Amino acid sequence: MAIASEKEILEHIESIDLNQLLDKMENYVRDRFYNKSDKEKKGFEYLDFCHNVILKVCEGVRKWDKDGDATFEEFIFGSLRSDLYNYFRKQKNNTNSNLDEETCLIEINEYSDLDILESEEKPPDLDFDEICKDTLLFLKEQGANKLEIEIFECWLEGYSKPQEIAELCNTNTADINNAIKRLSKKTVKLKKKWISLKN
Amino acid sequence: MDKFKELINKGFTQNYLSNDIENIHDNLVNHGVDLAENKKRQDKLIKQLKFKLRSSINEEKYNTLLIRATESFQDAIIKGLEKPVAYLNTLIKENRVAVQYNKLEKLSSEEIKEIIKDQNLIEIIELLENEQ
Repeated sequence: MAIASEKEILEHIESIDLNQLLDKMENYVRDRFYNKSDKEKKGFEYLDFCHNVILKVCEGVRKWDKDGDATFEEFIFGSLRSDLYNYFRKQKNNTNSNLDEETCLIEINEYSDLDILESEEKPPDLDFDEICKDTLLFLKEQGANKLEIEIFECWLEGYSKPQEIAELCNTNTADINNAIKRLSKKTVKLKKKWISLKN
Repeated sequence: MDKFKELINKGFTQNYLSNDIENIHDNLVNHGVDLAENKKRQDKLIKQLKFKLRSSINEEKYNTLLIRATESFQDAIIKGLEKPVAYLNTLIKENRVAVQYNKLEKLSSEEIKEIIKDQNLIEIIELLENEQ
């Protein structure tokens, strides 16, 4: 593991378009908050969540392994996802409310990379092919169209970048973007199904 | 199940991270964001981030120099090198630094740091290296 020094982080920050990264991050944060009231932001602006994540990386609170699998941008995004998950979980704990299904719209499994949940009971060891088949059937039942199904199939084949998926599906990235948004909403029940599998 | 979740999660994340910037901007505009105004706020934050990083890097550099200069002075005192010792005495007089001992050998590294902290450390290190 080779933790990037402050100097290396500064060099990296100066070598990328940080405005674009912040735009991408804010887009993500806004989607995560789309069904929330302003009150739930606790006075923070959307950009504050993004800024705090980058600040933590700069200050070494979150350490980027420059020789690891994740690029700087991927690391920042993973940190943002994790921070938001913790933020929502904390809010839920504070209000002692039940699982709000709307919170899970964007991410099917937000907690896979969080240490704190590693100790949780592991779900049954289901066969990968069986889960894929079952999920595709489930998405069709939810009214997923051809493109949404194709995107899902691309993910299962290991294609994750919108550009390569667009090429494979013979369409453009804007269509892929919109289809993924629709797809995210259809995964709400999927999330609930997985939770029930764990219990 | 984990492999499956990982693939799906990656697909969702990459849609945000790797999507064309035009699509991202369209989404932001749909969220009611004024892109020009947003850029101004971002630029301010980016400036703050870079400033903070540079300050921290400079502080680290300065501390390294301070330690190096202090060690060189301690070495020069032990060896009784004339010029560095005279220089240190001048600094003590000029800065009116209150040191606990009259004898330079008894100065602690913290006291030496206190004496030289506002000086040009690179010049001091050069002076000491030339003398040794």
